[in-house]
Amino acid sequence: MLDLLNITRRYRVSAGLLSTRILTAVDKLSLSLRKGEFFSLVGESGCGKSTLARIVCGLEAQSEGEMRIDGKTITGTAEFADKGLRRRVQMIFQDPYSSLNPRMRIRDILAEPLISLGWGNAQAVQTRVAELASIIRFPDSALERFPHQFSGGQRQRVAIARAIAANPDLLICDEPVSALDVSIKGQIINLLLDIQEQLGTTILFISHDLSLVRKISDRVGVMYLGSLVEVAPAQQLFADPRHPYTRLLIESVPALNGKRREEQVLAAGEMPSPFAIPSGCRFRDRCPLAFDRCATEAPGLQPVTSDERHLAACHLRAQPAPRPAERPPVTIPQIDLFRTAAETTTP
Amino acid sequence: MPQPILSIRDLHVSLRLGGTEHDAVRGVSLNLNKGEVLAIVGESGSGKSLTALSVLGLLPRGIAAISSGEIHFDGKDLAQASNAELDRVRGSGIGIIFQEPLSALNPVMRVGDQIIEGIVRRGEASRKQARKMALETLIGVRISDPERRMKQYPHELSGGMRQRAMIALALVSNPAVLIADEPTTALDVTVQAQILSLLKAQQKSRDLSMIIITHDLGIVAEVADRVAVMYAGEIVEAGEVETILSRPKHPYTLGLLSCLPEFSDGGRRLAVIAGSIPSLTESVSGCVFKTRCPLYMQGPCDARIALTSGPDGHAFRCIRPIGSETPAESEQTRHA
Repeated sequence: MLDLLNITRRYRVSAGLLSTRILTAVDKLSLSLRKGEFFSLVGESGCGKSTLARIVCGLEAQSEGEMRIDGKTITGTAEFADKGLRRRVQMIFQDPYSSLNPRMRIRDILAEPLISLGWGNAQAVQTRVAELASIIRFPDSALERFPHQFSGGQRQRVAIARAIAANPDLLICDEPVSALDVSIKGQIINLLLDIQEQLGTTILFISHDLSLVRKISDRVGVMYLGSLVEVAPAQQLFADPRHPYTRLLIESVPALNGKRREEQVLAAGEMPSPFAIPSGCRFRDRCPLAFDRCATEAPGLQPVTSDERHLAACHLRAQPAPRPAERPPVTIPQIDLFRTAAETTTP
Repeated sequence: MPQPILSIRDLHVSLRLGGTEHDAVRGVSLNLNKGEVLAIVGESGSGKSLTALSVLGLLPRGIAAISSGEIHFDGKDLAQASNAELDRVRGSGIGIIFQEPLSALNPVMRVGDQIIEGIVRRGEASRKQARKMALETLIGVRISDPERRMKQYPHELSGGMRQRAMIALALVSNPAVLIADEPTTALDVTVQAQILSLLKAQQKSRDLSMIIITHDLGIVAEVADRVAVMYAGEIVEAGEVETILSRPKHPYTLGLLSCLPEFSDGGRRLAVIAGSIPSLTESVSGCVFKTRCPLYMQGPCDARIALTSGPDGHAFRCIRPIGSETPAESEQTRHA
């Protein structure tokens, strides 16, 4: 349903009086999302994942490249509105404290997009608001309250209800649970999964939490310095990562079994400045496997094997990891105690 | 029995909200033994950071204050210490690193000067010697190009380098104790791995005793020897990391573990602890976790529950700990 072709986004950044520098936040990125899939984009801060989300959502325009949504080509933000895409593409942000108007009642927050997108008469709008409230398990009385009367998790549920109010086809979630406590993240994640499974909404989920992404996604794309370096079905990406950066990310996550890390992980340094992207492969100066060819020839995102679903941008993509990245499972007693109690709480 | 280097006894911290005082930390007792890493883990509002800040007298003035309790370090009670006394302890006795090095470092002072200033102000060395100490410490925390970093301002450093500078600042005077308050929360995962490994290496080589405050159980597993789990201002469970993470007794600890995506049962859904942490203005009688606990039993859980400790040092504040009830009984509570 979404096709991105060589999307590039550059920013002009002031570098002192009269001079500017060009920052390439997203660099010739191509990606297609299938209708109804849960696609996650992972990467570290500054990799361009949020910029990409803003382009897909029509909040800013790409500098170059083509974006197609259900076959309609979009080149700028004005076209987004003209082609009726405001209703079809919606976004949820990280911070539920700043994304809801503090002076509006929850009922009005939910009604506003319906009114501006022409949902129907006042009666139809109120019927829809009631439906949305039941989806996020808010009782009627909660609709008359203000955002500050709710917790972060509850507010994020309101933000989700507002985003899905007019039945979007694509929901972009930019780090929707990063600001929330461990014990309530599940409320939001499970709600998003319900929306994907029951309403058939396509979800583009932006995150830096690899353990989470592994569990909930259909497919995962890994971004590094404005580029996709690997794309694969979630299970495959984690079981058989082919890009050294993907391996570095996976091995960097603290393990619950307290396993020590390889020296390689610790020697990997930090992401270089986006003003100084290395020639050839952009990961080469942090890569333990880099060789001559990496400095001169940028590897494209290509199939790893005959399986077209697993792509990696590495000259050595045909080689599996030297040892499996899998970690032995950790078990705890009575895990089902909280699974069965995992109902979302009503405020 | 090892002799604790730092001992917190029955600490209460009150927080002023809208003109009234609320108990944000209630009766926390902790021992930090020489050379060990103790993690305090909890969600927002658990009181973990207030507990850590109390030790160095760094509670925000006019907002939070120690209302009672003792903090024993180096023959002194820090809870009663004057500002001048605390100033001597800070840096040379107990070092601290924060989550956000950008806001903890002085933005208009060169990195080197900040480190030097502390040493000179405490009268530990001359300016010339202090410069040498600063450089050596920066080399020790594996900062790239340390000579140049000394002359740079914090904003010129990357997030990882800034946190290394912060660690150097905290360690330069060889404190016996290091408190790390969410030291990697603002960092990317690959940099987090490097900083955690650096902290662990420094702790080992300097024989530091360390308290690490975190919300991440993965970090606990990786760096800590013992862990205290805090919830709503109280310690609900404490013990050896391996025991707590594999055989938790308190339902809240089990809940925290259950919520992690790592404990996959093959499905895509995550577990949730129903409800939310009681706000400071709500007073909960009895167990602080009872409003969210799947094992809650009317009566016994409504009375005040003490933190009871077993012979292995595993302590928990629960009268219906995990593994103690029969399956039939747990079925009953669940549907009650």
